[in-house]
Amino acid sequence: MYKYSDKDKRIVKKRVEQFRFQVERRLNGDLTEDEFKPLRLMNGLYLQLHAYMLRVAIPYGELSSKQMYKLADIADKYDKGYGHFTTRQNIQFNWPKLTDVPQILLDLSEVEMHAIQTSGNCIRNISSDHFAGICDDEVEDPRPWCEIIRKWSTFHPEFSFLPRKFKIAVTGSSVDRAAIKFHDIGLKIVKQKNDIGFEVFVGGGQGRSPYVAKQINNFVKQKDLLNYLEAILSTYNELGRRDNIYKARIKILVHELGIDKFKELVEFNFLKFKDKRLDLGSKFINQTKEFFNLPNLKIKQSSVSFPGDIDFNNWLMRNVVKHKIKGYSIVLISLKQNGKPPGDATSDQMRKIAAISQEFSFSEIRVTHEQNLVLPHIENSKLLEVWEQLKKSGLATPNLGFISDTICCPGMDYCALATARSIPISNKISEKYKNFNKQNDIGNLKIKISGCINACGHHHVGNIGILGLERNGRESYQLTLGGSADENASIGEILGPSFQEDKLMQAIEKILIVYKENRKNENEDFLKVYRRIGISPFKEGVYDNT
Amino acid sequence: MIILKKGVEEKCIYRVIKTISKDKKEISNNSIFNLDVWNTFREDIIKFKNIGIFIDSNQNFDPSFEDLESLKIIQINFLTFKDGRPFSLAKNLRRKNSFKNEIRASGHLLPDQYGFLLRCGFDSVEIKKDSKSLWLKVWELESDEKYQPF
Repeated sequence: MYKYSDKDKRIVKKRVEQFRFQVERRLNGDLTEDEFKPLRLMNGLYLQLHAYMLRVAIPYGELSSKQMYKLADIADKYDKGYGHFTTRQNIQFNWPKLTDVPQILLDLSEVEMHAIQTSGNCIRNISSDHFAGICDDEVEDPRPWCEIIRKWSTFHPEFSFLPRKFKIAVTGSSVDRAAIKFHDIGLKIVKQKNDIGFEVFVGGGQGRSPYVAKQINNFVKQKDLLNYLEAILSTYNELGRRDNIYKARIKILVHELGIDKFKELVEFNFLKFKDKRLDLGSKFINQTKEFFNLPNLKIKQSSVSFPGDIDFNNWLMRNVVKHKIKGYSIVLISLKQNGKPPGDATSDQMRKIAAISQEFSFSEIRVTHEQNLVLPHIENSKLLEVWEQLKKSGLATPNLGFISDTICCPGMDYCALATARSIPISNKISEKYKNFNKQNDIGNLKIKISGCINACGHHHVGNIGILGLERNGRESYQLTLGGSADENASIGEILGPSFQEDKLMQAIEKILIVYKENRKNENEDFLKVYRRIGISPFKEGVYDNT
Repeated sequence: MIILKKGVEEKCIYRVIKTISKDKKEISNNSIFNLDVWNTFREDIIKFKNIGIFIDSNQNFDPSFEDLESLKIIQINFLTFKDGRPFSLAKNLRRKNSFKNEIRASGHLLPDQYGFLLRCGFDSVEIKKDSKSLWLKVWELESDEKYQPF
């Protein structure tokens, strides 16, 4: 895991002082709310429906036990005893007081954490594959690259007042678990002959105009990575639209110019004006990589003990994944317990996870963009013990990748922008399909729910996407089918007219009936069936008999 | 208004000229001309000394080598502090155009942007006289250490 240098520590502490003074100026009237807004946003502080919300950065989703304990303490001391893990691998606290925030930031800095650039029109937290460095399908661990980009993008003098927010994701694998094609820039580590470099995608995103990112370069050398990013960002900062907030993301610029023209402008900046000072030397790259060496995992014959408990077997089947080191497994902790808001964890649960990780997973924890957690290095022989402990805290729900493992935005329960509630919809789905066998019969199926067109719940890329809207003063829900955020990225297609809340579950059930009737065998999951048969049979199945 | 140049107050020696009358009497030494005036009266203006150009943050400015040769100052005016284009414009003037003379920021700016302005190639800012102490206090809180080599 990355450890702060003294320089990192000083920079983060300085930021706390700066923010404390900004809050002071806001309170004494030196700053208007309009002026304070971008400053607080760059420190992760939003004004939500009921209160301020603080979004704390979890760089590329990696946390230590010590950090998790601190998050639990913050949840208790300054909030209502829980936190919400987000789709960009961060954590949000929904109820902090403005005057407490500088102190929260100081508390965070004690464990090498901050809320810098988790919001605002700047380069946001760099996100990555939650299996980075521990899966056997990657060219190279993406985390050192995330860290290099994190540093370069932090308080970047040129890119702190961009037309709109800017999100970068990095994967080292051909299996995309980081949704790179739905980021402003997606980076995929690739190998060309014996050289490692980056395939670069640009202009992906969701919101009201969803786009799959387009390839802008098939191989950028490691040494040139920051200069290439600078060229893209500089082009965007100059030409991105500022006349309309809904057209200000880079995806619109890429779409309006066309990828060829955009590429021409970027390559001109890159080839003619690269800054030698940004070249990445192998010494620096290797020093960064050293932070991310695996803990001392000894290859061993370590087998799982089977107590004959069906719940444990189900959990093994859904929540445990092969580790690249023999004898170890990756454990996924579902934060989609029936009846709870997706992504939420109580302070007690956070402490429990921190303790389990300390004992069994080298004090490492990851956050997934699907709002679950990961214990990255569990010895196989300890799986039963880990499961038993997780179960006691309501953390062993065996539903990873199932219909109840929904991504869900806070919706109208918290968010000022929302047009409908989303958490209650997620809860209804969990309740209806809580039976393991029922879910297992459906198989892999990603449902993603957004409470408004801004798409924070990623509905565009749900195999079934649910978008909450307001029609004539009532909440209604539009369904999309066939979305996917993986390496075969696609945007869901609208099924048809939207549904009132009381008809929504019936519509989902009908979709599932069409799927089951059409699947060739149990291995053909929902997305495969959809891609084979298209949307028409689903339209007929859902609308013809209503 | 005062000029703050790398933390030190300076007197402004320029007048900003936004319109030109028929006799063109406004065109003289020590003047900064807005972009429209510059484009219309360029040949008259370059005969004078200590001249500059005034650009609003939403204007495109693609100067020729000859333009830059004759400019002592480029003043970039932020219509709103949220408009980040001038940061790239200043960087490009330095890096692409090798412009060596003064680049000044004016308009709606926050003291919290001062460090960024300097690092992108601005030399000076035009601010309200009574805000000087606030600008300097915010600048004191600026970290000396950066993650970027500029």
